[in-house]
Amino acid sequence: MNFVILSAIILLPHGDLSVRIAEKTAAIKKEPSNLLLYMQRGELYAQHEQPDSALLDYAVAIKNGFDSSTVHVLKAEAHLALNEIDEGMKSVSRFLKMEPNHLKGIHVRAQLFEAKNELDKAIRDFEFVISNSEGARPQDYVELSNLYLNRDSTDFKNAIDVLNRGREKLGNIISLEMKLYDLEKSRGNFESAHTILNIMMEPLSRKERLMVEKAELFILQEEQIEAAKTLVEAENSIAALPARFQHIGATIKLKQRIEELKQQL
Amino acid sequence: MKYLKLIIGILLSLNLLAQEVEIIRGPYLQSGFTDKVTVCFRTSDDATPTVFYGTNRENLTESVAATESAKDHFIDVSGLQPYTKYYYEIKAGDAVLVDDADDLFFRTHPTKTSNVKVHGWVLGDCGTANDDQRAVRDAYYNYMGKRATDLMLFLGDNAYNIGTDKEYQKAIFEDMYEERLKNTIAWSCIGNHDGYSAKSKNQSGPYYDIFHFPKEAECGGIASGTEAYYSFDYGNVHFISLDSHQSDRSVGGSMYTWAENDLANTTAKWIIAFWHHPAYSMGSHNSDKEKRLIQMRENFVPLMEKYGVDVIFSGHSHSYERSYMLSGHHDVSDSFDIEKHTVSNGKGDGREDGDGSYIKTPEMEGKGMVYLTAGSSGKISGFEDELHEAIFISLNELGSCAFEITEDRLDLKFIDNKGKVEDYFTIVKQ
Repeated sequence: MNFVILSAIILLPHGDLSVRIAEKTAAIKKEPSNLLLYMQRGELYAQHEQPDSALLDYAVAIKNGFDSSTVHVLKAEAHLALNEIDEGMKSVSRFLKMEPNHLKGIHVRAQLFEAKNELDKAIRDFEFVISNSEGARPQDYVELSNLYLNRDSTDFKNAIDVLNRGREKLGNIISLEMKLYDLEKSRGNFESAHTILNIMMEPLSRKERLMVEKAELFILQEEQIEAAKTLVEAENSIAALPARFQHIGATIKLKQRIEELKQQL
Repeated sequence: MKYLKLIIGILLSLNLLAQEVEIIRGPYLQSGFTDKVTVCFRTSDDATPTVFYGTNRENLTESVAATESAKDHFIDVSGLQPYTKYYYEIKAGDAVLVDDADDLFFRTHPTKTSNVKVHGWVLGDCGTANDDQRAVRDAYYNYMGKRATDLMLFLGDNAYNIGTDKEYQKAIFEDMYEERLKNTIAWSCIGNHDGYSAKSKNQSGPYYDIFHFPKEAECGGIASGTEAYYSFDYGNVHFISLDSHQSDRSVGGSMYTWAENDLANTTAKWIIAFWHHPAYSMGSHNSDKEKRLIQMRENFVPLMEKYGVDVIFSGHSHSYERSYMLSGHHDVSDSFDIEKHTVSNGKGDGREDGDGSYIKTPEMEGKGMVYLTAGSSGKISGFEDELHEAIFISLNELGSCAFEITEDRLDLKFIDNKGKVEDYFTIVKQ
């Protein structure tokens, strides 16, 4: 039973986003010829996860000659959310005609190409976005790496290259390095996988998880002695942890994994 | 007339008639750690100011100058001693922009082994820039009295309506938190309203221009490569801030991979996570129905549990909702079973003078987290028809949270806008 103190009960699905939509609707009633308001309400609908309602507002703005490129890229995004790829492509093309090389437009087009499974074009656009973005994130590099492999599951070269470009730009970021490690391991390039693991482990104060990864690599390489040695190091590392960490779910699972790997030796 | 022109010319050349540069935002403190802090402020005109600092207010012997002329300044002060109070002042040439004062200081973070007491102030969805927000602030100030605040956590939606620079000025810097911001390091996660004008994709826009967060593990933790999500250490407490709004929230995504490795690397006694969209809420947002809230609960809550996180703060719903001490509840509200989804004495009120403090022992496999939706620091918006089953107390009250952590004990209080403690609980680690 909840302990409750209520001074008011108000039902607000999606919180103040609903209020803002209502405010925008009121503004449209007052100024029905102000097409900017339709675009703005459309944006709110999109944030409200109602892309179909957003499209209706964008259509009103465009039909009545709203003089803005932005409405077209917003329309493309709404079509993308509804998986209406061809319609989305038309809108983004119109936007990019008005705003050539606009990063947001090219990014939306890349997503549309990906949805159409036109992966060469998607990769070209994602590459353009990453190369020209000031603050590309780790996830942008990881997603592009995945795209190379979606296009050709053997294209480790490009998939790895894009991750390394991310590392050059952002530094030793664990999400990039974990992906790199997975790729090197899955293509059987164990020496490179060890190198990446060593780089990841170096700054860590707790190394037990990656030690177990290392042991798995040694097992794949059929280097049983090294694997056994590394598992002992991992166990020692766990034993040296404060009690509270020895009993958390992650450590319990790790200990189970160590036992499983020991069986394989 | 000729002489008057001559005098004006001379004065102009001496720059005496030129408008004096003054500080119009801040100073405020960012990205602090045991040996560093960033002093931030905005000047009314381009300037190349210098921060003078030292442990003796009467003798500020050290200095760091801005490297270029600008209006917005982010001056890194490094080479500091852990858990040390440094007074500072800011000058531009001979002009004093902010004079040294008793309350103009920064204190570096303690080291992990120091076990000092930590006082934190948590503000969710505060950015209304109105008297309600100020009342919440004043109630906290009165509650704390002369006690220092060690850190501030903003839970997003820090400036309504769309997080513009102008809105931030009113909601954060002007007649709002300036008395704390000049001597307390502030941290934040991005909210949806901040996200109307800021983009995590390239970390641009007012939110990312104003805040400077560690992306290269400068303040502890593991490098995330982005200011959208990051971590830091304060003594024996590890804080992890996630972007529930604009970053990939999937299991195995970049934020998830980073968070898992970050949590797997900490040896801190306490772990506190914070992000904007609440995992358990029936306030102005419904965690059973809204995508981001569901994803954070289904994807990130299990990760937090796996690594023994103790407390999670969120905002978004403009209410205060505090859970029992939970474990393993990742589904909708109706599926909550108090016997199954609480651990230890977690189905009680967590109050020392009530059912007893929540107890966590090492043998509990790190299980047991308390979730707080604390998004009523600027406005309140009521509840859904049915309250969340996993929530012990739901309050439609303006307020903010104050927490205090000593070696084995965490105390949290929700202080309403009139200064009344409306909820409190304690976690004790045995």
